[in-house]
Amino acid sequence: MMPQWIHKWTSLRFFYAFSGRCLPWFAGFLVVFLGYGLVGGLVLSPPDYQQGDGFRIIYVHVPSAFLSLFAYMVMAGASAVYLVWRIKIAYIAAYVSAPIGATFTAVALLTGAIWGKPMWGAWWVWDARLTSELILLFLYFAYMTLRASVPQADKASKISSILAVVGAVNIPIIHYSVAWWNTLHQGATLSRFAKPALDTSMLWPLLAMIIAFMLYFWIEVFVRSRTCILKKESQTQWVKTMLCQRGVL
Amino acid sequence: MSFDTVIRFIQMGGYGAYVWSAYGIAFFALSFHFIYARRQFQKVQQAVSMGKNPMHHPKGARTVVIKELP
Repeated sequence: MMPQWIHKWTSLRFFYAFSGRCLPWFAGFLVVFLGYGLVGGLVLSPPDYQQGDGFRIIYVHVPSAFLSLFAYMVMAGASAVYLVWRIKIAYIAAYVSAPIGATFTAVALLTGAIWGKPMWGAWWVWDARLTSELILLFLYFAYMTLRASVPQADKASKISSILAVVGAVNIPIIHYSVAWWNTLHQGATLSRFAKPALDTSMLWPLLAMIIAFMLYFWIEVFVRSRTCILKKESQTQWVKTMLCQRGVL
Repeated sequence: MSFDTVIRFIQMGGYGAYVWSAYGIAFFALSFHFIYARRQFQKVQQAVSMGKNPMHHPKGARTVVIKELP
């Protein structure tokens, strides 16, 4: 038996109102962090002593890669919550996270290839980190395809949720691939247990860009979730009342 | 400031093509995503406000299957 407050906080109506209140704040902070990250990373930080100005790709590549893993963890976690407790907002969160996560993964792979060409001399190598990130992209595609191909909605949601949870095993593999295998890809830039590998003049803009990408992710999740909720609850009284109050109806 | 002139900023020490194409890919992919999501939301909001059920399409219209959520 779940406490009352969980029922309230996980209701579609509550989430719709909550996400609507959060969106302007997230957008404002996104502009601030993105502005600082881009100016700091592209203009203020010095060139790398080995890679020159080519290293500045880090300010889109690392945040994209980080968010590709984060989005999958959100998707897998929400899928697990849905499988156990059948909370609708959890499934919606997983469902909308998939295309965003796939986009981040594709951007990480493409920007990584563009970075790899001048630095490694190759667009692609079958390195542990790159290969496991490519598998992550396939997992996203598999989740979306599975969801779309099973005609019964309930069955589709269950099967795709199981796939999301099982595929989460790939996340620690991606993260620790640079430690477990002899890889071309460099080791972790940011670690909880060691001094950062970057100078602070390069590090702060990177952290700002990671936060900006994180805010973008949540803005996307909120917008897409609100679309799903409106579709699902279109015939309910609270939606009609809300649209009336906003002068839309 | 790492660059004296705008030209040097664009050239990025000889890596300009790589750097700007990476930023371009990221910018366009994420912008497209957001614009698409926002337009979908506005379409559904308009459909609901007109009293239509966005889960169904009229018979004979060019349809795209919208999977019902559980």
